[in-house]
Amino acid sequence: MHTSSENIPLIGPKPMPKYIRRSLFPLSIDDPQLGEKAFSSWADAIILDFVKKPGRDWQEDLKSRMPAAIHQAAKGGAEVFVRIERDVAAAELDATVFPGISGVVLKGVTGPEDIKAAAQRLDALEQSRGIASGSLEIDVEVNTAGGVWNSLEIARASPRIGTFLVNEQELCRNLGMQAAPTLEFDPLEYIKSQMITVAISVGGQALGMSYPLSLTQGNVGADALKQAVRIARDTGFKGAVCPHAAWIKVCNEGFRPSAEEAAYYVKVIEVFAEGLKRGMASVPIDGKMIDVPVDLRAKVYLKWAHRAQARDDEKARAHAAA
Amino acid sequence: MFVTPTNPRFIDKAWTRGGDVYILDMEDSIAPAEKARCRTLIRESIQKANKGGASIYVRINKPFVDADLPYAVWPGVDRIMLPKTESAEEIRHADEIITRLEKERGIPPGTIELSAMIESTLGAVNIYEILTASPRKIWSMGGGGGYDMAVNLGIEMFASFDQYAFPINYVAFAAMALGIEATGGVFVPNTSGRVDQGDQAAEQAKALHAAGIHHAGALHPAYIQPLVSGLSPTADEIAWAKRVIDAFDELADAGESVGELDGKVIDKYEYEMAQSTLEWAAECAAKDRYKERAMKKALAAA
Amino acid sequence: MAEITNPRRSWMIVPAHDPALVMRHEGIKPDVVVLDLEYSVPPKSKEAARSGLADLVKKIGESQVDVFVRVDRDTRWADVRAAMYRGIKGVIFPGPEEPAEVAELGELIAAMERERGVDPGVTELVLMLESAKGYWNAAAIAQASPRVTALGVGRIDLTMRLGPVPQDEFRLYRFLMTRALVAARMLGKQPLGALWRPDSRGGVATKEASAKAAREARLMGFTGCVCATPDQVASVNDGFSLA
Repeated sequence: MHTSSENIPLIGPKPMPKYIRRSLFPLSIDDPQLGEKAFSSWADAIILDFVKKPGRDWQEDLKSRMPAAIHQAAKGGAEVFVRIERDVAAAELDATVFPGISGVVLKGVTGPEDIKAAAQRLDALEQSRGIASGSLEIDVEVNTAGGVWNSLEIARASPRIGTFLVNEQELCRNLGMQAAPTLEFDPLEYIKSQMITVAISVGGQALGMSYPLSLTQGNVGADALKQAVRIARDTGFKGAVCPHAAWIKVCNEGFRPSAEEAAYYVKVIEVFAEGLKRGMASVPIDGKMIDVPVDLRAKVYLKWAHRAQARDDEKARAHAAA
Repeated sequence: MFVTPTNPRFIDKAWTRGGDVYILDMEDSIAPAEKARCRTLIRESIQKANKGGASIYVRINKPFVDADLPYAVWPGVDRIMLPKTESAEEIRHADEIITRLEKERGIPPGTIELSAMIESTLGAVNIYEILTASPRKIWSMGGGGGYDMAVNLGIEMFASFDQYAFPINYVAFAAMALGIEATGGVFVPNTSGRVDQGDQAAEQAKALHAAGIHHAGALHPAYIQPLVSGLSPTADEIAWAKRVIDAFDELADAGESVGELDGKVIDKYEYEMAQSTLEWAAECAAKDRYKERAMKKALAAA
Repeated sequence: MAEITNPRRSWMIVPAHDPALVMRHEGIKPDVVVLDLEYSVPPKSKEAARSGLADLVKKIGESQVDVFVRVDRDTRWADVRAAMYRGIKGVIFPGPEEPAEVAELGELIAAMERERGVDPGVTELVLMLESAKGYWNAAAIAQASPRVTALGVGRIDLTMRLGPVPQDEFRLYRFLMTRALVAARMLGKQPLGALWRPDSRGGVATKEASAKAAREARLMGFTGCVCATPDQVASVNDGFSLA
């Protein structure tokens, strides 16, 4: 029994954030420039969308094209996901899950049964397609009222659950909201905060953008975008789906502690350690008291900054190697 | 208000500050190397800190529940605060130990209350189960604003908007659904990040009082007076409440349900509000009287 | 998609014990007339209100407006009995807390439909949430009877004693609006409610405040709200009509 331990355990052993996924860039497998766009995007992740060929053999068509598309999408070092519709999930999963993807983004989810069904399908596909068992993630693209109401059961439905992506535009339509930013508050404010809270409660994370850019999805200038990302980050989002390639750089830079913040955390850790040596539980820096929780935060966030940097280095290496 | 038992100067003087509640802290204000010594100081701190008539709570450590409780459960302690509460099981576990200690130490079992401090997203989403985990009286606290919740969410603190919109409101809502009074729940921007400014306390008290919340915590003595006065009903509010009750009683006698007083609507809702104001006023007055007597006694003995 | 063809934007409360006040609706033209047996009827007039309902419903039936009856939660069984006549579209139940209450009232309505010769199943139930417990059980409550067509935000500033906060809103208000909205949309029920601000009381507000409260609610996904006074009707109709 520890009586004077130096190590106060963290709340839960899970890393914060679970993944470094600051920018998710949707691309179509039908896009002839898929590879170039993925490479030059510098996105942390690519979401592959597809159109089902009319007729019966759309599955065969997709199966034949997916492996190459996945390979193209991964060129710049991005993780690759495939986006699936809940209603036809089983058939779409069969046609699109191949080695090289990190997981699937599931749209139209309304309850935990959707997740369990998809998870089962993934169990079988991992086995038959030589993918490490349990490795494929399920990310939930929240775009229905049921997805919101049942969010906790959905998040707990499978250990495969990774992130919640909030599709603000489709959610607005589903809820009968006007998807035009004429309100002085975000009509989705409590829903977004809920998604973030629920996702993090199971050790995952949520992705989304702040209002009103979340609804306009416009290609605004870098400064406006930086501010919007800052607010999104300070709400608890860890990244965003980028409708424009121009969003990606700002998201990569904004959804992580900045170099300045990282330097401050280094200072906090040093000063607190010094104080501890002298038997003090609380030390001032510029009028702010640094105590155990402040020191803890600095350590957690510094680690986050390092991981983000490592991800950037990894992508840089992927670019250099190509 | 939180006080540090390992700081003798502070503990000896705390009672003179006029707070309603002193929280003897074994947790975040105590350095790891001091935790063992802190345990040994709790019992004697109770009598020091309650001299002025304040209630005494003890905040224990989540990782050391079993080790801390034997040092925290004594006659004179009104409430145990469980930081970073995340599950019903934690409540049940603490409840079991407290019950055993109450019996051993001559405290009627169930007397000591619990505060479930919600400082993480997991605690927030589990709030209903937490608050229904035990027949012991459980108060609900938090859901946002502290370092731990901020780190859990991965946010910088002190932004100009409400960063805890869902967790704080959901926790307050669950408590309400269970008829439990929740503390906090009003967003007052604090972009300075400071916790020692009396005028900020006055702002906070004003906002909480208007919203109907009766209790607030503080880290610094400068907050005590502003919070105590800001959260008590004013003489005007009490006088108005009495008039409303009289007016509504008359309406009811006449078989009416809605009337007017000084241009304001009087109905069963205003009547219930007025009753609630008087109840709260009576509680505050009782506490003030109790503290006054205790202060007199303590000053005479000093 | 979430649009509706027969909008019920304004639900005007009229005291069922005062036929003259009730008939004023013809000049005001709300989408729904709510014959009230609750707040706007003093205790001494409740019996008269109940016994006058049959005639009142017949009289209003000659205009095109939809008619609902708002029962008092505490006397809802007697109120439903008094209300169930050909000509009403449904019953408003304020303050439901448990699904069993809604199921029970649905059954009582069914029995009264049979007794009074009303087509079985046509009588709607509209639920106005007015307590934390009701909000907690919102989805279960809204699913407790197939008659439920709408789920709304009641006079929660009053019933739940929600005080004002510095952002010019009532504490918990938009959180609770969001909760009702999500439950309603998930279950295909019409979401009723408006963003009343601390200068309004129990949904009673000036014309300007009503227009704003309704417009903001429309933007948030709601389709109509209760008008506690006739003055609010035109503004609320406007607010919920935004294209």
